[in-house]
Amino acid sequence: MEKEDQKTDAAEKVRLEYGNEPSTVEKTAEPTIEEIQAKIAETVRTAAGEHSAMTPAASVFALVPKSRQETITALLDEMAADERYADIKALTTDSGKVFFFSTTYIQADEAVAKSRIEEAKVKIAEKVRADSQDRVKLTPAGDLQELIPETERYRIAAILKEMQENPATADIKMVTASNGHVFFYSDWHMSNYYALVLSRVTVKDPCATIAAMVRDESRVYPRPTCVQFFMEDLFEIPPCDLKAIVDETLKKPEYGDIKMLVHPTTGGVYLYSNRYLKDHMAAVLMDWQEVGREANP
Amino acid sequence: MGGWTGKVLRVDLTTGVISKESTDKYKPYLGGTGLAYKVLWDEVPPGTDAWDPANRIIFGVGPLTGTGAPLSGRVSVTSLWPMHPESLPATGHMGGHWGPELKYAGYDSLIIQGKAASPVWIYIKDDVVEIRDAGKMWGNGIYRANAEIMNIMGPEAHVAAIGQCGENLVRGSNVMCDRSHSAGGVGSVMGSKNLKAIGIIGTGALKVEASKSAWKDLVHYQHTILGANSGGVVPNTLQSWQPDGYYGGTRWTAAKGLFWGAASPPVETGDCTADDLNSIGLRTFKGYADFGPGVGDKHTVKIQGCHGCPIRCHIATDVPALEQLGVSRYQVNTCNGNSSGSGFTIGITSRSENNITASQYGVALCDDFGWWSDYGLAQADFKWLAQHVLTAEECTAAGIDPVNAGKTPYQYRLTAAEYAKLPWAKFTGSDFVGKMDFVKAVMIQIKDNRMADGTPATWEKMQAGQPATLGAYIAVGAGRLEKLWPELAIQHQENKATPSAINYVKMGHIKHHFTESSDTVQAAALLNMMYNRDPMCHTHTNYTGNGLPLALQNEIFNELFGPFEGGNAIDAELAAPDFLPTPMNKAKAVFAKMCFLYMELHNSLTLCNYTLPGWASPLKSRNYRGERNLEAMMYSAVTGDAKTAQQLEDTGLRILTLFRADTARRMNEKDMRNKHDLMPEYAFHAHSGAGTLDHADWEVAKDMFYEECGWDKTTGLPTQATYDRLGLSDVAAVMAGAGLLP
Amino acid sequence: MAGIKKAIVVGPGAGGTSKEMEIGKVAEYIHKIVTRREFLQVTGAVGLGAATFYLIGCGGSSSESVAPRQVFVANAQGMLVAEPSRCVGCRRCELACSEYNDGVSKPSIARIKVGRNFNVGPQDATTGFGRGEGIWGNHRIVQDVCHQCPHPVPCQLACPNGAIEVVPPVNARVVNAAKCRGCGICTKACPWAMTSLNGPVDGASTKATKCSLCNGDPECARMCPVGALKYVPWQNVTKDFPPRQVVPASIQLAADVKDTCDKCH
Repeated sequence: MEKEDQKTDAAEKVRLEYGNEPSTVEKTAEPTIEEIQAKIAETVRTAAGEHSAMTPAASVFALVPKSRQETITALLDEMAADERYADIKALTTDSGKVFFFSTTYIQADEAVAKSRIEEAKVKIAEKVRADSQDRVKLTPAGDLQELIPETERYRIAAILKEMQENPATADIKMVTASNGHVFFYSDWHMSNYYALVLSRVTVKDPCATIAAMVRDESRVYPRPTCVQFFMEDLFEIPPCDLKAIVDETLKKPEYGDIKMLVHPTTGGVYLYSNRYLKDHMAAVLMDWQEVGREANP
Repeated sequence: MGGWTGKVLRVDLTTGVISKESTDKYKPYLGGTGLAYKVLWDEVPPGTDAWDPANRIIFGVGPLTGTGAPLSGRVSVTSLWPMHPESLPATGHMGGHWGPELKYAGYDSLIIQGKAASPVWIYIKDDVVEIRDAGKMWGNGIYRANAEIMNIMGPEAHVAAIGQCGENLVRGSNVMCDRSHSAGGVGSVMGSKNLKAIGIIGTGALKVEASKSAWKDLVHYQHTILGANSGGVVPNTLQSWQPDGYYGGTRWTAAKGLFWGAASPPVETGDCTADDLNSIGLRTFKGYADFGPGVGDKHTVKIQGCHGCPIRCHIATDVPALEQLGVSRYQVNTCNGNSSGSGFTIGITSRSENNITASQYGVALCDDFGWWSDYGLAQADFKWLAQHVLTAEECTAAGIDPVNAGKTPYQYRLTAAEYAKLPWAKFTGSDFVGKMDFVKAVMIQIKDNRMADGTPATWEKMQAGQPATLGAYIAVGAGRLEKLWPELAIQHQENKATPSAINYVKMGHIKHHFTESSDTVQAAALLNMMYNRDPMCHTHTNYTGNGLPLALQNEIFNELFGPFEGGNAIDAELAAPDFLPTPMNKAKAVFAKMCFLYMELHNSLTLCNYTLPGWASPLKSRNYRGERNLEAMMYSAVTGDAKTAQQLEDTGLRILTLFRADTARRMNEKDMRNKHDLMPEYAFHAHSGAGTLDHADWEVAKDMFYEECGWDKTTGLPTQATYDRLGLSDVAAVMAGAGLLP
Repeated sequence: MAGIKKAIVVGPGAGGTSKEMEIGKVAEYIHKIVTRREFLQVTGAVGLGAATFYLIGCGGSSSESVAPRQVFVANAQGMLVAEPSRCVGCRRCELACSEYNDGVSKPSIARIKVGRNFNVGPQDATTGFGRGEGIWGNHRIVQDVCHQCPHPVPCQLACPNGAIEVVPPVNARVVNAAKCRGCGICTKACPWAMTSLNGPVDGASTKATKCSLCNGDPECARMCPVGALKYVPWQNVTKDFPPRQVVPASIQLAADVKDTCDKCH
C-alpha cells in the first residue's frame, strides 16, 4: 500500500539500522556519584513533597547501579555531610525497616508516625506480592488489616489509596467480589482477569463462577467451554460434584443463556452462552476442539 | 553479500561430474524452493517423469540457513513429485541440522541429477565432495545408513538418507535427516537415482553483514516477538501471569507442576512468562499436548527439533515397553510423523499408554524404512479399504460385479493368497502386541513393494491387471490407486466419518489445514488448490491459532495489511444452516496472498513455517502486535541487501509465479483455473465441523486471488505485465511460445 | 641456537632413561623446515618417543631463550555450568558464541561445544549405535564447556607463543589473537578439546578460539532458550569431567616450568 518513495525510505532505514553501521542502540553511560546522590535526593523529596510519603530503603538502593552497590553506605555518608542534602534524613523502625524522608516537607515527629504507616505499607506490599506470585492467591482485606498498627486501622482505605498513588506500590490492586468482599493482588504477578476469576471463586457460588467463565469465553474468543476446565484447581470444585453443579447451573433462570452440548462421538461435554455464540457455531467449534484439532495436526 | 556462500553444488550421478557454480543467478529467488523452481524451470523439460534420470532433486537452503536468525534450520527438498499422477513439481521440507551443515560446508544448495550405475552415497566434507559406493548400505534402513556414514565421517556428520521405501520406489517415501526430520514425498526420486544418502561435515563460516552489536540486538528483538509453536502467543491454560488473562487453543502448554517426566531428573516446564527468553524452549510441551496428561508428560525426555530454533517441537520420548517389541525405548518425532505406523491400527484409545507405545513403535519402523504417509491419507484409505463393506450399488458404480457386495474392497481386490498374508485377526483383535505385529507386517509389505509374484511392483504391471501385495497398493499412492480401484472414490470424496476427518483433495494428495479451519474457509481452499501436493502451509493456522480473541486478530491484520472495505479476513461465524463463510472479500484475498507469499519466503530463506509469521506477539506492551518486517529485517541484516517487507513479499510472489508457470507448462494447460485449481465436490456440501464452499463464491475467491497475484482471471495464469514486473520476462517468452500466455 | 644448553630426549616407555643428544643434531632438527603439524605428527604419532624441547617460540628462529611461562595464574571468577537434561540441541549457544564474538556463523569454532555430542554423545559412534547418548541414543545432549582450569592451565602452558592469557577481572583464560600464530598445539593440549582453530593449522590468518566467558556475561547463557547454561562462581571441576582426548606426551611442561612449580610445591 506504500508509494515507491516511502518504500525507498524504508529500505534506507532498514539498511542503516541493520547494515554495516554500528548499532544505533544507545548505551547509556554510568551515572557519577554526584548524579546518583542528586537522583536519590530528588526521589525522596518528590515522594515527601507530592505524596507526603516516606521512601523505603529498597527504592533508594534501586537508584544505585549494580557496580556501585557496595559503596552505598559511603555514598549516603557523603550525602549526610553535604549541606545540599541536609534535609534528607533516614529513620529506622522497630522492626528494622529503613525509610528516607525530606524534612523540608515532613517534620521529624510526623516522620515517626508516618514511618509506622510506611512500614505497614511495605508489609502490605510484600504480603500481597508474595500471595500473588508464590501462592497465586488473592489477599483478603482482613489479612491486611492485621499488618497495620491498631491505632491506624481506621485509615486503611486512605492508606491503600496512598499506595495506589505512589508508583512504587501502584501494582497493589483491589478487586471486589460479588458479595462485597474485598481482596487485593499485585498486577506485577497476577493479571486483572485472573484476579477477577479468583474473586468469583471466593464467593463459593460455583454456578455463578461457571456461568461467568462460560459467558467470557463465548464472548471474547469466541468458543464453547469444555466442562473439564472447571476441574482446574483454581475453581475449587470437587470433581465428583461437577456434574451436579453443571446441572444446577443449567436449571437456573438467571443463567438461561447457558446451554449444553455433548459431542456425538467423543461424549465431550461443553457449555456456551447463546447471548454471544450461536448454537450451530458452538457445535462447529466444539467439534474442532474435540476431534478436529487432533485430526489435523 | 552475507548469508549466501556464493556456490551451489551440483552432482551428476550419471557422469560422476561434481561442479560448483555461482549462486548469483538464483539470488533473486533467494534459495530453498525459489532456487529449486528455477532449476526445474531451466533444466527439466516438461514430460519428464519423477523417476527419470533427467529429473533433479534439489536440496534447497537459503541465505538465512545456518545463521543465528531464529528458526533458520530448514531445508526444502524439491523435485518432480512421484505421488503426483503427472510428476508435477512439489517440495518436501525437513528440518534438523543437515541444511545448516550444507551451508557450513560452503554450499547454497545441492542439485542432484542423473542416475548412478549402482547404489552410491555422496560424501561432503567442506570443499571435498565425492561419490562413494553404497552397495553394502543399500537394502538397509536409514538407521544403518546413519551409523555407517558416521563411522566413516565421524560422529559429527549429518546424514540425509532414504530407507528401503525410497530404494524400492514406494511413492510415499521420504528422505530423513537427524533421526526424526522428514522431507516427505521425495525419497523414491533418490531411490530412482541409486542415491542412498548424503553425509556432510561443514566447518566453514557464514558471514552476517550487520555489525555484531546490531545483529545481536536484532536477534534479541526477534526472540521477544516469538510465542510458541504454531504461532501461539498466549498460554493454552489460564495462567496468572498472562496480562489480560488470554488463554486457550495454543501449543503453549507449559505449566507449573508439568514436567518432562522422563528426563533425568525431570524438568519442570513451569510458568513460561512472555518476558522470559530463557524459557522459550519450554513453552511448547508438545509431548503433553499430543499424548495426553499422565502419558505424554510421563514419557517425554525433552522437546527438541531443528538447528537454530528456540521454540522446539519434536517430542523425544522414553517408552520402556518398546524394548519388548524389539526396538529402542528412545524415539523421537512429532505431529503426523507420530502416527505413520500406528495409523494402521484400530481400537487403541487415544491418549493412553498403548497409544504412545503404538505411536513410537510405528516411528521406529517408519523412520528406518523411510515411509511417508501423505499426511495420513494412506492410513485413512487403508482403514476404509479394510473395513468398509461394499453395497451392491457401490459395486456397480465401481464396475464391480454386485455379487461381491458384502466384501470389503481389500477382500475383493486382493487375491485370496495375498489377503491371507496379513494377520487380520490381529488388526481387529484386542491384543496390543498383536496389533503391533500387524503394523510391522504392513510396513514390511510397503517397504518391499512387490507384486504377488515377488517381482518389484510397478504401476504398469498393476494397470495391466497383475496382482500385487497389499503393501504395493499402498506404496503406489492414493491417486493412482483410485484409478485402479474406483470404489476408493467413495472414501476420497465423502466424509462419512466425523466431519473433520482426513480427506482427499485432488491429484493424489490430501487436504492440509483446509476448510475445517472454519474461520478462513476461502483462504484455506485457495491454499489447497495451488500446489501439486497438500500445501504444507501453516501461515494461516499459525495466525488464526495464535490464541488471541478473533476480533483482535482481525484488528491486527487490518493494521498490518489493510485498511479493508467490505469485511474482515477472519470469520467469527459460519452462516447456518449450510456453514457458509461470509462472502469472499478483499481482506480475505490479501490474507490468502500473504499466506502464500510468506510460506514461499519461509521455504526459500529458509525459516520455519510451523511457527511464523510473527504478525502477533505475546507482549502486552506492544498490544500483542508482532513484527511484520521480521523476515525482511533478518534478510537485510544477514545479506546486506536491504529490503522492506513489501519488497520481500514481491520476491515471494516471484517465486510463486515461477512455480505457477512451471506447473502450467508441464501440464501444457492454459485453463489452469478449471483444470488445475479444482476443489473436491464434498467441499461444497454442508456438513458440521467445517466451513462450506459456495460455487459462486468460490469463483469470486479465485477471481480476487488471481487479481491479487496479477494473474489473468480467465485462465489463472500470470500475465505478461506481471512476469515483467517480477523480472520473469524470459519465463513469459517461453510461456508465450507454448501458448500459455493470456 | 645458543640458548639451548641441553636437549633432553625421553625414549619410549614410561621412565625411560634420558640421554643427551648431540647439540648439533638437535639444532639441526629444529632448524629443519618442519611445519608444526609435521612436528606433532612426528613426535605424536610415529612412536619415536616423546621429545621434549624448550618451547622457545614458533619457527625456531629465535636465538634467545625467553623467560619461563607464568605457571601460577589466578583462578577464574566464574565459569559456565551446563545441564544436559535441559539441553534441547538447538545449538543457539554455538551461534551466539561465533556470531557475537567473531561476527560470523561458524559453529566449528564455537567456544561452547554441543554439535560434536549431538548425534551419539561424547563417545565415538563405534561404541554402539543408538545405545549411548545423543539424538540417536537416550536423547542426552552434553554441552562441553571450558572449565577455566586452575594452574597449571594446559592450554596456556602448551602455547609456544604465550598467547593464552589470564585477563582480569574475570580471569578467564583468553586467546590473545595478536600473539596467536594458529599452530594448533592448544587444541591438542586441552584434555577436553575445548579450543579450536578458525583456519588451517599454521594458516596465515589462523587464530585459536577458546572461551573467554564474554567478560563475565556469557552470551551462550543469555541465549539458551531453556536455561540449560548458567554462569556461576568458579570452582575446580577438572576432576569431574572425563577427558575427551589423550594429550600427546610431546606436550609436556618444560623443565624450567617444572622448576617454577618446585618453588611453591
